[in-house]
Amino acid sequence: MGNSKLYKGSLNTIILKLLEEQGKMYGYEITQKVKELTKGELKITEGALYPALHKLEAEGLLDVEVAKVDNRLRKYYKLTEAGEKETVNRLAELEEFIRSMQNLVNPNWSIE
Amino acid sequence: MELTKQDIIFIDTYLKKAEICFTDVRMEMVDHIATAVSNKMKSSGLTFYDAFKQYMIVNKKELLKQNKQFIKTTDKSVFMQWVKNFITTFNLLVMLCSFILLIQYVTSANKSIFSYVPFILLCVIYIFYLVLTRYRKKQRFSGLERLGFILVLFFQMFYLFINPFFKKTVVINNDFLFTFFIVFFIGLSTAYLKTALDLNKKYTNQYNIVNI
Repeated sequence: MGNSKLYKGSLNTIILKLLEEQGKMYGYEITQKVKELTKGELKITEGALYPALHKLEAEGLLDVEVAKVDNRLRKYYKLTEAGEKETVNRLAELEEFIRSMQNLVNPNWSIE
Repeated sequence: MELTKQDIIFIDTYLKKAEICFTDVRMEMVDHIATAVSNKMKSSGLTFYDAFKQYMIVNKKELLKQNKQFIKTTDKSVFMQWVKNFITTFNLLVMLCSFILLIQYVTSANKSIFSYVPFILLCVIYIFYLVLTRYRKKQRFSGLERLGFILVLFFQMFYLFINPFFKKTVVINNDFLFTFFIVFFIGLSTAYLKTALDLNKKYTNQYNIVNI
């Protein structure tokens, strides 16, 4: 995408939202899902994704499950109870932010 | 396309040589690279080595970047866990009981003997820490290892105040304050042991699957 900096502040919310929908996901799967949903517009790099996942885990919003897949170990992330609540809050915040931006940029557009 | 065990070992060794020393960090990177390489092999018909080479040329920098970030996050998380264990009701009760007991015995005359308490505790913790990490054999886990680093830093600061080996360090003359420091140290030590056990349990639960 032209300016991925615009997504940067929303990365944690994007991760939480995906995990809320998918139940549990691993790192590579998240990057591919985001790429697929944004039709290749947004590419989350490993250097941005994993620190975000580890931070969310440290904050107690994500839980980890390790499974053996194809000769290697895979780390799955899923929302904790606190994570589920936080997802609702962060999505509401993001929606509010988008609304404010729309009012600033073009009041005639609507996300309703 | 499923990678062979040798392919996985190759990726793991490559990351080890790139100084990704912690098992938990490397394991996640190995899976990420293996999945990406496997997809590349499937889509472009490349051999494992060619697909791996192509992937690493583009992504190596980003992959290594996350290692540094991870250590920072681990330090913060482990420190917070230590603080959380320090302020539990049980730990505060242990400290209160220790204080009541020690304040009766600490006098100016025997203060030098009591000043060895932190040193003895440090030795106990160090042995405990060695047993935990030796038990893990060659596996190094970020949380356990960074906990050791934080402990060393903290003990160095503590010894500025109570150090039985150097007479010229800041000496606490007040018996009450001296006992308080010793008790504070006991509290930190028990919290440390609890944190180390919690982390050990976490890694055992998460990584007790057959090693690659």
